[in-house]
Formats: sequence, structure tokens, C-alpha cells
Amino acid sequence: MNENTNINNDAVKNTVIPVRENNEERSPFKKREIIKTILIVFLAGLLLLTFFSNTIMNRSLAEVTTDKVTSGKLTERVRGGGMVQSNQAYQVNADGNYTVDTINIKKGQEVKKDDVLFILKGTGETDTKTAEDTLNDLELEYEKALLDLPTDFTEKKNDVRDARLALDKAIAQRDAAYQAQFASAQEEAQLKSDKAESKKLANKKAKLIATINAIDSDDYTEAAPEYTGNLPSLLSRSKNADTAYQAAYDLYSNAVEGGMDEGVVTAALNDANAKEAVKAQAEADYQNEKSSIRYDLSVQLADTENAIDDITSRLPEDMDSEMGESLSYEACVANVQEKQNALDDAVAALAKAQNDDVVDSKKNGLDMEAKKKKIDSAKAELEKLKKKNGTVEVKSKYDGVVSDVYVQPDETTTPDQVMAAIDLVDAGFTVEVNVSAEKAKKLKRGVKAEIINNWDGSIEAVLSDIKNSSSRDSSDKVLIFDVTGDVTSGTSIELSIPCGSANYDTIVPKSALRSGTDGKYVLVVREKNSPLGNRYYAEKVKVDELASDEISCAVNAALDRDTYLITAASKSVDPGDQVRMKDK
Amino acid sequence: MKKRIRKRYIAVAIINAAAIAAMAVLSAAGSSLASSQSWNMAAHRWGCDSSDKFTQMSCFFSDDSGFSKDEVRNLYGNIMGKLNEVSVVPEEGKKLVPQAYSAPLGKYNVKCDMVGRSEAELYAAGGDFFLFHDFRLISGAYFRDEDLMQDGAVIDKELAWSLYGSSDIAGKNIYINNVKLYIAGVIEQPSTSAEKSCMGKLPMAYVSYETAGKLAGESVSGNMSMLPVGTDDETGMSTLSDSQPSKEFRKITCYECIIPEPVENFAENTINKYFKDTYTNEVKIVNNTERFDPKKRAKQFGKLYKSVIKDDEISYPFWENSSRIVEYRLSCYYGMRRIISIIPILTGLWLIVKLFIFAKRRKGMLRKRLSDLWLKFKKMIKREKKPALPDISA
Repeated sequence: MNENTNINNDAVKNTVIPVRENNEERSPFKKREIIKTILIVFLAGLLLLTFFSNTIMNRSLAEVTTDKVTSGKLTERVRGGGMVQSNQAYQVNADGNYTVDTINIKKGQEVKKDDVLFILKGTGETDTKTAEDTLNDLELEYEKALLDLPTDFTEKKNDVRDARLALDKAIAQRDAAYQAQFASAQEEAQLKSDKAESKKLANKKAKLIATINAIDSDDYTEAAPEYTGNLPSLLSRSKNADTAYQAAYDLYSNAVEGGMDEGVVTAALNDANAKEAVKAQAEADYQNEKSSIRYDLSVQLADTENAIDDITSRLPEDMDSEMGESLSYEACVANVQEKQNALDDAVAALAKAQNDDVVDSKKNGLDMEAKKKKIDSAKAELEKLKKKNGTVEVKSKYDGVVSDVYVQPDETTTPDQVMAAIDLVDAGFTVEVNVSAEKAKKLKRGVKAEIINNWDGSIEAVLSDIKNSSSRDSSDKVLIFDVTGDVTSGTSIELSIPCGSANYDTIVPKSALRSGTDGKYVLVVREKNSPLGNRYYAEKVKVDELASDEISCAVNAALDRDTYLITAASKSVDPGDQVRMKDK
Repeated sequence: MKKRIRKRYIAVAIINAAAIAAMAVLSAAGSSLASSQSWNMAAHRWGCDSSDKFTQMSCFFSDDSGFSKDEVRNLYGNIMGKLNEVSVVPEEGKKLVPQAYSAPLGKYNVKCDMVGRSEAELYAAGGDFFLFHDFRLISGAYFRDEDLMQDGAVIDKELAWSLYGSSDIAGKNIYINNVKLYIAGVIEQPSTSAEKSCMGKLPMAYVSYETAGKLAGESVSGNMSMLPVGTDDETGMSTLSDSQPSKEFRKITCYECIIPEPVENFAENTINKYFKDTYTNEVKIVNNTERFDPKKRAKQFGKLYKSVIKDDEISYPFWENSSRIVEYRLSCYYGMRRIISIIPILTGLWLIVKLFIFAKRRKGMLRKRLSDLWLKFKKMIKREKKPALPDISA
């Protein structure tokens, strides 16, 4: 086993060693090759980077578009537009039913006074027939109106009569109710008196009973003072005499028990006897008075009870029903008033109807008169149509320009139909333009506006007035322009109105203007020379804006003419950044 | 045995190099992606040469929130009041807080003086809208609030080509719903993939609030949300904007402003406090200056699922939607970077431990070497301090 192992090891050594030798032989060469290749690649890379360094750098820079600083005139403008309107115009109307035969005018055409505008043809038999029919209708209507019946007031009069009868009936009812109520008033007074008396007696009875009870119990706290007389004072005196006797008797007893002198005992005895006599007298007085008063009160109580029974027998059992009858008279009075009002209304209605009838009669009279006139007019028209030879010329009354023609050939006109509108050129044209108050502030009267959509320059517009807007809620202003030239009403024109212009030394494109913490500024392109070519840097220059129009701004800044300003950039450009100019 | 250890070290080195390279790539990609959203960089553009810090805030409102131009005045007053409290006041003639507001108007037919016509998506834009939205201008200029005539429109290149077959058409006329406007500027269409995916198929046009009012006045229903596409009259082409019945358009669905930051989070706190009570569920407030901050984005990586939940009635404009897409991507980038960074950190810790063990074993030798180095250093310093010999030739 060991031998086999050794043999195997030798074999391995024999096989491995030549390989290792081979590696050792190739290794330095291979290493050199690798290093050489790496160096070549590295140097080639460096060379490429050197060649294209500028291009690579440029690729990473922001590309900017530029514009130059200029000088010149800058005009701020307000734009607006509106419809041209004639200051004065008149309408050509048809004076009857005609057929339009010839139209001699067209929109925008200039016409002179008495120029023939339209030739109209009469409608012939049709017209005559129509006129005859109209006349017949009018006459029929007139005759019908004559047959109208007079106004009938019977109904109104019946209303008045009914109202009067109803009033009379209500008055009779009221008088009857009054009589009935007078009798019941006396009974009611008696009843009220009895009730009061009954109440009074009941009160007296209660007091008497309370006083009798008090006399019986010798306690006068609940008793009526008007019936007790001097009983409370007599009772008090009796009690006091008793107290004095008791005190004297106690003194005497003490003297006897104490073995005092005979003189003292005798004096005490005498005093006790004297006080006993007083006590007996007081008690007797009280009992006499008590008996006397109690008797009187018993008699009074019996009388009172009899009186109460007497009154109670007189009073009715259901007192409320008797009281309710007093209202009927008032109801009757109200009813009379109501009927009176109804009668007044009926009378007033009758009077109004009669007055209205008078007015209607007058109106009808006038209508009849008008109808008569219409009939006369229709007769005249019919006569005129019968006489007419068939054609009518419509002529212009003034010099002017046709602003619109409203009829077509062969169209049938109706009376007062507008056939054309003619602007009086001498009166001129105006355009109204709505603008905000802020814009209006910058404009001055008399300024001449440029008309944007007037290609041949034949129209002129001058600002003649600035007015407030007709709308209450709006603070807008209305600019009024006098328009002259080749124009007709209804033409829409667009105006560019100069607010004022001035020459400026430094004008920059609006797109170059930027804002920052320290106000407005522009980024200027500064050029620096280097061995690899020109390089461009953005430099910040502060500016003060003086004026602007749509595309440019006049500024106050330290900028030379033809300086390049950055107007746009492919990415954000900060002051000091290197940039790449688009065209360079 | 030696060979095996060396391979492990090489593997660790390769993994670390790959991790660091991946982190660098993710950082560069994130930075590039964030900077591509120039609409979130308005604060930087505004204060590019100022040492003060500014924050760009955006507020998006639901359609029925009722936020209008009047409220903008109130909010502006509130912000200025708060700044005044911390002694930040505007200099004479300079703006302290630029602000912009906008609202979508819907789809409209746009025509030109010639035969060209196209349907376009319209936005009403007011304030310093184009400071915040710096579209690349191809021709013309942006319209501004201070312009006397407010009948300018900024249209995109596609619309310009549809109408006039050219993009150099600033100053030419267009007609929207019978209202005549002039082309103030032509802009390049947004080019990033996020923006393209949010833009919609129709070309865009921006008009002033005054023009929006005129369009509202022209609309039969008077409701700006009604789309009057196809209602324009062929004969009404010459109607000028100023002659239109004007109806003030006040609706705002997006409000943006740049506020100085005298103290940290001043802007965000001020805006949040203002809207806290009145527009609780109808407004979404975004701090644009900090939204792409790597730390913030990396934190959000674990909560990405929340970004798909919509819990409000607000429809965002395309620029905000594209910013949200970028936010999502940045969260992925920076989240991944954070995860990958664990590898070099762990390697570093492992090396420190190794170094500590090595130092402990060879303490004496290291001390000797350090003292030798110190002596050499001292000698070298002494030699340098020796005075130079006088120049004999002189």
C-alpha cells in the first residue's frame, strides 16, 4: 500500500513539476504583456480624453440661446377692438305692399340725395281685392259696434234693494234684543245684590260661631273682636286677681309655717282675704258679662241663619245660563253694522258701474270715430290703388353710404318694412372699445390708433373720449374713437393704441429679464480665451426696468450695445456658470 | 492555507469595491435625477447669489376647496407679518416672497390666423408662475403680471407646430374659444421621462388669469370646468379679447411661494399653521426644497407602500405628479445606497477589530517603531532649523 502511495506521489511530482516550470518560464513574459497592454489602453484612453476633452466638457454645459442688447424706440401699446357704428343713420321704409322689382344699391355703396334706391311694383288686383276686403271688414265691424245694447244695471240695483231689506231686518232684531236685555238687566242687579248679601251673612255667621266657641272655651285668640266686647279684659283681670290672691296666700302660709310674729301673720292673712275678695268680684264680673254676651250672640246667629236661608231660597240654581243672554244684543248691533256696510258697498258698486258706463260710452264713441276714420282711409287707399299705374321709385333722402340692404328682389314688402339702412357719412363713425381703468389711465385723448386689420391703410381712428362703463359693477372704461375713411357701420376693426413711446439706450429682450432676491437682472455672456479655445461664462448684471412692450424691455443698466444676453438655457444657469452658446 | 486566506481577502476587497462603486453610481444617478426636476429648484434660482436660505413651498388644493386670489392676498399678508415679526423686511423695490398660482382650465380648441387648429390643455397662471416653472423658451418671452396687456399666451412647441408649422411664432395670433390672444412665447416640452409620463397627450398652453376670466365669460355655462371644445364660431375669429364680456376667474388649485428661512423650518411652519384650521383636508403642502434630500428619501424607502395610498380629493398638476415619481425613484436609489453601505461599514468594523488584535499582539514592537519614527522626525526638524551659510561670492 505504501509502495503504491509512493509511486503515485512520484507520478504526481513528475507530472506537476514540468507544468510549474512551464509557468515559471512563461510568467514574466505574460506579465510584461499584460502590463504593456494595460499601459497602451490607459494611454489611448488619456489621448482620447485629451482630444475630446473640450467636446465632453461642452456636453456637460448648459446650452444657452442669446440675444443682443439694442437701443431705440419702445412703444407700449393697448390693444382692443370693436364694431364701427355710424353717428347718424336713417332707415328706408316701404310705404305699403309692393313687390321689390329692382335694387339699385349694395352694402357699402355711396349714394346721393334723390338717387333711386329701389323700384317697387304694385301688387295690382290682389292689392285692390285685399283693400276691398279690408274695407268691408271695417264697415262690418263698425255696424256691429252700433248695435251694442246699453248697459243693464238691474243686477246692481237688485243688490242694493236686497242689502237695504237685510239692514231693516237686522235693525228690528237689534231693537228686540235691546228690550229683552233691559228687563234682564234689572234681574241681574238683584241677583248680584243677593249674592253679595249672602256672602256677607255667611261671613258674619262664621265670625259669630267662632266668637261663641271662644267664649265657651275662654280662649279669645280666634274670636272676632267686634263681638267679644270687654270679655278678654275681664278674663285677664280675673286671672290677675287670682294670681295676686295666690301670691298673698303663699305669703301667709309661709309666715304661719315659719313661725313669724303674730302681727306679720295677721297682716298676711288680711292681705290674702282682701285679694280673695277682689278675685271673687272679678270672676263674678267676668261670668256675668260672658253670659250676657253669649246670649246676644246666640240670638244674632239665629237671625243671621234665617236671613241666609231667605236669600238662598231666592237665588236661581243655574246662575251662568242667565248671564249668557246679555251677548245677543251686541251680536245684533254687529249684524246691523255689517248689513249697513253691505248696503254701502252695493250702492258704491252701482255708482261705479254707472260711472264706468259713462266712460265706456265715451271710449266707444272715440273708437267708433276711429273706425269711421279707418273706413274713410281704407276707402281712400282703395281709390288710390285703383288709380295707381303699378310702379314706385324709392329715393334716398340724404347723401350717405349704404350700411345694409334688408330686402331681396321679388320680395313683397309690408307697410313700414325697413328695406335698407344708410349711414350719413358727414356725421362720421365711431368705435367703442372696453378697456380696464388701469389701461385707460395710460391713454390720452387725441392719440391716433393703428388699425391692425386695415391692410390698405384707408381707415383712421382717433381717440376722442374716455367714458365710464355703463355697467355699474364694472370699473372698466370705454374708449371712443372717431373713425374716418373707407368704412361702413358693422365693420369690426382691431386697434393698437400707443400709450406713449420714447427712445431708450438699453433695450433687452423680455425673455432675458430674470428676477432674484435683489431685484431684476440679466445674465450676460462673458468670453474668456484659453489654450483649448474660447470659454463662455454667465455674469449677472442688475437692471432697472423702465418700460416694456410685448417682446422687449427698456432698462437702466451697465450694458454695452451688442452685449450677448442669455434668453434661454437647456438647464438652470447660475451667475458664474460656464455655458455653451448655441450658435458657436 | 495561505492561498485560501488570500482569496478570501480578495473577495472581500472586490465586494467592497463593487459596493462603493454601486453607491457612487446610485449617488450620481440620484443627484442627476433630482436636478432634472428644475421646478423644485426655484428657491435655488431665486437666491442663487444670496447667502440667505430660502424654501420653496407648494400647496395643492382640491377643486372645491374655495381657495382663490383673495385668499392668496391673505396668505401673503400672513407670511409678510410673520417675517416682520422676525425682523425680515423687504428692501425698497425688491420682492421678498415671490409667489405663483395656477389652475387648470380644461381642454380648448385653439385656432390660428391660418388653417391650423389643435386641441390643447389650458392652464391659468398668475404671479411669478414662470419663475417657478422655468420651461425652456424657444422663442418670445413669458407673460408677466405687470404687463399692461394680459392677452399673451405661452404655448408649447407641439401646439406651435400644429398651428403654424414653426416654433418661431412669438407675436402671432391664436384664438381660444373666440378670444383672440397673441403668442407671448413658445416653450420646449418637458423632456424627462417622469414629466413625459404625467403630461398627457394634448399640448399645453398657459394664459393669464385675466384671459381665463374672458374665457369664462365666453363659456355658455360660465363654469370653467365645462369644456367648451368645438363650440367656437368660425365667424368670430376677429373678435378681440378686450371686447369680450369679462368674468373674473379666481380659482386656484396650486399655490407656490419662496420664503426666506430666518430660522429653521420657518417657511414650513408658517404655511402649515395658516392652513391648519381652514383647509385641513383640502390642501396638500409640500416643501420642495427638502423633498429630494437623500436622508429624507432613504427614510421613506421603508414606507414606499404609503405612496400608493391616495387619501385626498386633490388632483395634482403634471409637474407635481412628475416630482412624486422622482421622489419614488429617489427613495429607491437612496434606500438601496443605504443598504449597500452596510457592506463597507461592516468591513471597516472588521478591519478595526483586526487592527486592534494585531496591535495587542505586537505592542512592544509597535511602540519601538513609533519612538524611532518620533526621533527621526525630531532630528529632521532640528536639521531644518540650522541657519544657512553666508554667500561668500556676494
